[in-house]
Amino acid sequence: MPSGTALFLDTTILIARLVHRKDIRSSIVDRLSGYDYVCTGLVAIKEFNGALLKDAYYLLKLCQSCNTVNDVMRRLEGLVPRQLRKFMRCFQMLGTATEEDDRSQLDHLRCLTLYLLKYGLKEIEESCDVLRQSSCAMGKTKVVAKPGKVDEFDFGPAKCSKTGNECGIVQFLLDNLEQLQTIQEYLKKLDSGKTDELKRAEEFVEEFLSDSGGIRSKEPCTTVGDLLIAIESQSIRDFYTINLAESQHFCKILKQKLILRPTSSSRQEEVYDFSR
Amino acid sequence: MLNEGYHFEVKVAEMAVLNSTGEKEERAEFVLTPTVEKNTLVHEGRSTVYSTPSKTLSSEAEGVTQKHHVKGLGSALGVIQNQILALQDEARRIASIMRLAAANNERETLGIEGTNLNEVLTTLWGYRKEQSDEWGMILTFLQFSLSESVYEKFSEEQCSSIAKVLQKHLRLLPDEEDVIAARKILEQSGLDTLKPLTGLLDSD
Repeated sequence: MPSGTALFLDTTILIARLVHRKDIRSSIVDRLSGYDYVCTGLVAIKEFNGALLKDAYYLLKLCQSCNTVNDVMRRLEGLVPRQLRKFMRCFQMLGTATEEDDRSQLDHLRCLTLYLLKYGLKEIEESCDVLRQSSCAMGKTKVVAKPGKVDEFDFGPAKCSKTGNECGIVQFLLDNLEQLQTIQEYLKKLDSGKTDELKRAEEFVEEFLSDSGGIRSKEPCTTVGDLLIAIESQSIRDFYTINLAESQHFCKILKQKLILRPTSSSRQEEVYDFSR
Repeated sequence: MLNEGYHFEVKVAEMAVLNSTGEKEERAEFVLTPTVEKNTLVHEGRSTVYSTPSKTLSSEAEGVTQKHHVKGLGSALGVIQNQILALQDEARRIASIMRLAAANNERETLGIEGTNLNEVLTTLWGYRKEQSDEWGMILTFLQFSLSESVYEKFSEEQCSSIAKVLQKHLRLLPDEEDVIAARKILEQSGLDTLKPLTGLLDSD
């Protein structure tokens, strides 16, 4: 094993490590095993809770209220197109061909979603450290089962503005003004390939640098998550992701090595070294 | 993770070892102890103390042939728990045969016993309402590890991981560590515990 190497996992990798296809999961585990230190950040954990675990909870609720797999599918189809992404995720979760009866299949699905909700984050935390500099209050909040209630979970506040004094994002950004200025300069110069997320990041940084007061009302952790995760990861040279669109720019700005895990089994991991 | 229940379980285990030739009358006293939910820890203790050789397809295979009786309990719950214990023992016995078959490259035996194990696990799954969510999670991992698989191609490591999970973690009252460990063991051997969830991120 190489010495002194460190790897940062973004949200897509956290999720994929748990629930992606077996070959992808295995390749991620292989990649992680080559590092001395593996970590993620609180904002990434917040996104993990808000994406995968919320989907799992939604599916758990469907299992409760539907009697057949077809009923679940009909409910899922009702999400299209507004929540196509969620539909796709849930659809994939159901995408198993078994000869089980409906109740049995729904109960299996219930067990899997319960596993994710109760132990998904624990499994993640067993495999990597969590950097806490951002002090994201939502990232610090655990998804917990409501006492005395069956299959009910509490996700805590869903917005930065609802977290009271627990949120440390403003201070975190103030501690990283230099990086924010560098990001601002880069994004200003970027002509093409500016995604909606990057445009939001640019606007957010501009606003923050001109006036940091009241920035929490902009809900940074839910609107510019990629920006915050990039800053969380800055002290780690190697950044591991499935998402190239935004990460390639942030890694370039922060002089990191981007390791891209394509979701196609036939494709090898791609490495873009911006650290030199 | 020691608690009152585990102390209790150890006591039962020790007694069972000392009196391994006949019926275990004294266990009924423990079974009726009100602090033990569903009497499961008692059965748990009993289920782990026996490891007697059985004559099977592979004579070296270790199986569990001891029948479980809960004298004095006589309740429907006790009967159900005994049935679950017997099925779990049968699953362990089959997994043990599979492990040896894989080691000896007995592919046909692997195919037959893999099918048998799948059937036993399916029967066990029928008792899910009587068991905890954690028990259901571990059984689900095992079932999905075996689903749509070509048992003939199972490696010794994979069979060992199944046997280990059945032996150590599919207890009547598994805890959070059992669940996480079970998934880890199966996954590390290359088995897929979350088949229905695979492909989740293709749209990202």
